[in-house]
Amino acid sequence: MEINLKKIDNNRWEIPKTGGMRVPGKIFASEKMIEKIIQDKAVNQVANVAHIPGIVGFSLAMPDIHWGYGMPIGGVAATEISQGGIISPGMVGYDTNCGMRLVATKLDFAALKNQLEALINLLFKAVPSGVGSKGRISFNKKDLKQALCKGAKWAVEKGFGEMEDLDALESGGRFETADPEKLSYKALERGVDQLGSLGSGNHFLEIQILDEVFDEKKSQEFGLFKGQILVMIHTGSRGVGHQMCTDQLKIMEQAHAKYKVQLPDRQLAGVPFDTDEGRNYFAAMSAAANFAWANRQMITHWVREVFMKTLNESPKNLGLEVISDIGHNLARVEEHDVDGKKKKVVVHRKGAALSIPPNHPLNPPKYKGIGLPILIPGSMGTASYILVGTEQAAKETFCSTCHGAGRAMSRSEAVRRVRGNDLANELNSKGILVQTGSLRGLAEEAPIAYKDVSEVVNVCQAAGISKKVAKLKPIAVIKG
Amino acid sequence: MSAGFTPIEHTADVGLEVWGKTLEELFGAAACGMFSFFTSLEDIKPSKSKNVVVKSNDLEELLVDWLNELNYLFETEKFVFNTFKITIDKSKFTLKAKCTGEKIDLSKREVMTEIKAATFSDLQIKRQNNLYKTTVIFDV
Repeated sequence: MEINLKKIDNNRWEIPKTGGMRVPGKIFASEKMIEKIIQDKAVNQVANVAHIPGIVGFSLAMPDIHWGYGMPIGGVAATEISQGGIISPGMVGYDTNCGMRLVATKLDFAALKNQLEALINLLFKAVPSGVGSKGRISFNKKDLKQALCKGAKWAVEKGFGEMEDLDALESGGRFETADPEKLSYKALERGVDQLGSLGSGNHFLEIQILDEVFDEKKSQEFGLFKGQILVMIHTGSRGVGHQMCTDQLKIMEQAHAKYKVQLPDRQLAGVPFDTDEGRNYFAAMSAAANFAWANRQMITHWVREVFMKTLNESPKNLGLEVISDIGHNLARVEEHDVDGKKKKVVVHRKGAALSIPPNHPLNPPKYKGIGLPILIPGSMGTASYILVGTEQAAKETFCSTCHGAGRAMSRSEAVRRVRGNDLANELNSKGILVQTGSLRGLAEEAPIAYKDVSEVVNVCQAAGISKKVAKLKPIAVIKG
Repeated sequence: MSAGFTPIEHTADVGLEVWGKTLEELFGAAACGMFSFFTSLEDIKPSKSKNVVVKSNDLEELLVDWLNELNYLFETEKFVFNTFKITIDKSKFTLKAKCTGEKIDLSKREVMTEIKAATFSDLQIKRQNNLYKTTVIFDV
């Protein structure tokens, strides 16, 4: 399919509705970025998504867009449930509820600089990471099913954290639509050893300093200050999510023909949400999502333990508080204004974060009048950002914005160009401590392999779909 | 070589070009290719075997299901296989295989990559010049 991209303004590009497209496409990107996006075939994927039954508004893509399976990473698409709108596993991604958690402290750099090395060494021991990483604690299938049912709440009930933590999490860290019985035996087998582990690839744990404040008022409302030490945790649902998505894609392959769903790419296979198969996938996806929230909650608890032990301070003095936790690979059932009417839609976000303005009903209780803090990680060793949601996002992108930097280079190319040892030394010379189980894995995640997160965040800012609150810089990285 | 694989460049993930004189050789080469992303296959000893049966609805799905089954065995039982005796029933899209290799010890051997799944991206099994060929992209 040939695509005629139309420039709407400096930050928006439209794919006009043609052929089998039910709606137009809209890509948020700068003029500089769009050239690369076109080369990547991601534009075609945005157009393909526009074919799906029940899609409303636009087939959207955020500025960190890159090619994915069926739907590009950075893709957002909402389907109207009452109009046979479909739900599609390929439009959520294999790593269900891969997401970012942000934990604040009351500390500044001076408070921990003498113990930073000890801190990172203990964190590396306390939080299992790396290829095939297993959780520290043995759980049985019964525990696992409880975690799949209750998410972060299960973890707190088991002693990992506090009930107050849940107030900062989107959906309280739990999708009540979860049904562990919709997961296969294989998904449970893959997950039972992995609760409480980081994994590998682009998953990490970082200690950051808040380097720059853009919005003083919002920073205060979020409990942030310049020079503050924060912790970022990036991980997802591990083997449970991967297997669940694999299993469900196979089911959808058969089921989509049954419902006469025609698609330009078999990887978009889906069924109307309001069917047995649709509801079963949503229940399975919700269970995998809960695994990820339980996972990040457990890791948060270990971070707290390590900080307390290393710095020999009480939890009160350390102030290790969960600020936010947002999944960026999820399908959520939400209500949005579409063409002046309130509609119940399934919003698929694959590599896209929530962007919720103050007083919007989607906010978790802690942020009702404030808006949700959105953590956008840069590549390892580069800046990260905290954003807040906007009314414009509510109007234009179903409350969505970018999720990170997006890869720009293959892993093999990164490994050819960068030696893990050299990279570790380079990061050290910039004042960033590194702990990793794999120098090759480190090289694969080198900053040159990623787009510039500042560019991505600036496009979202200029387009008005999220607003910068603060900028962070790393002082320690733990990578699996 | 009548069957083999070569890694290909991919921005976010990993991929293979695979070929074989027969479908069975193609599927065996794809499996070796996938395992080669995890670890070196040269020193894998033929100490354990496992029988695998896969049933699918078309040939491409059979290949994806076969690779995902092997990935599952790697993740749950730490199996790395480098030798396969495969039989494919093309009319029923069914595969039976005896897979031979060893269970690896992660503390003694570096594993380079974790694979989430084999995908359908760019996957089309074609026959050209008496060789079956395809690309396989894996989500990492």
